[in-house]
Amino acid sequence: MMSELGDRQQPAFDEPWHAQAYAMSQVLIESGRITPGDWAAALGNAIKTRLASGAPDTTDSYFAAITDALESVLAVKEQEINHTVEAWRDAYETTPHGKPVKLKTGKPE
Amino acid sequence: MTSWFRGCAVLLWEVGSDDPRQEVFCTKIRKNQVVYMTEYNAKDAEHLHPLIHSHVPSEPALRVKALETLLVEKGLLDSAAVDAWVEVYSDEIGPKVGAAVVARAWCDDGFRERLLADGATAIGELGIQGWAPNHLKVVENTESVHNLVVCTLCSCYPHRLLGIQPAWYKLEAYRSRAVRDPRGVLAEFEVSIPETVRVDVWDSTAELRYFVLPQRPEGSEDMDEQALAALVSRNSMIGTQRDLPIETGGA
Repeated sequence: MMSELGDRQQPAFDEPWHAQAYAMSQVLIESGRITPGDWAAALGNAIKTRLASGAPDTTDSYFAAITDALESVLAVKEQEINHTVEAWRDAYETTPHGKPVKLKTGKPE
Repeated sequence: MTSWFRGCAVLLWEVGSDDPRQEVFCTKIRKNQVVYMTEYNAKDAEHLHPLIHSHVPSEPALRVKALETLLVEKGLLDSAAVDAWVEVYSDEIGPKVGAAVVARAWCDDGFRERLLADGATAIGELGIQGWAPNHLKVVENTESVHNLVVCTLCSCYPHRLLGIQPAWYKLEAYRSRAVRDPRGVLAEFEVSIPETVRVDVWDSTAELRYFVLPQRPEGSEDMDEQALAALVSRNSMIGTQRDLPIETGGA
């Protein structure tokens, strides 16, 4: 775990989606949509659940738990998420490389 | 990605055959005005592939994207605020703000006392706003005490002072062991704490964040506040570093 310690140049996030997930949680807390207490409880629970189900102790698992916690604390339905995931996947699969990827609703990325 | 690439290459090749999937795929290809192969050719496949579609993000990345789309649609979230947050915290803040607080405390005893009494109010003097009173507890390292900060529940952290948590701060390996075996954890950071020094571990919560005020290094007496701030590392403000060298820059 400590191999990264000496490296002060380490970027804040390993992956753009890590930053995006974390930023969403912080913006929702700062704007009062989620209380800090609810968030800590939901995230703690999501991390525990992920690790208990065999996920490795990595930052990928941590940020996936952030996504789990956001979905649970805001009561987002799994069906809605899956539907939107597929819409995005379709958008990527049908947009030529280099063109802006947009959802079919016409919303910009 | 790999399997999709293979799937595309095969379908590119199969266009024109009797494969039932060709109708769907031909439509995609025609829409993008791609000239497709009549027989499989690896080089052409490589060339045609990016014309058909963009690189599809990983599953977790797609899920985060979908979640953001939904929350924006529901009116709970502003995409611009998310982008702004990423920009600020990825580049601008880092641990520099915390280092400036430490340097001020080393130079100004009055500030140091106010900082230890009520961290949130004291950092307001440096223009760091937005912290509710009593929500920031600054703990001071001394000859006889070393402080270590953890969040055993999740990963609570004083972002405004230190930027984004380092990767290890979020891992179970650190979160669970810092309380149970702080000296063992510190040893992994190559920090050896003499037996005569007490180690205090502070468990952050949603409401209360901790921040370590490290000891001013010996030999730094002639340095000004700005030079001192450059000595202060992120880890020293979490407590996973104790002694600050005066030769090399911190943060």
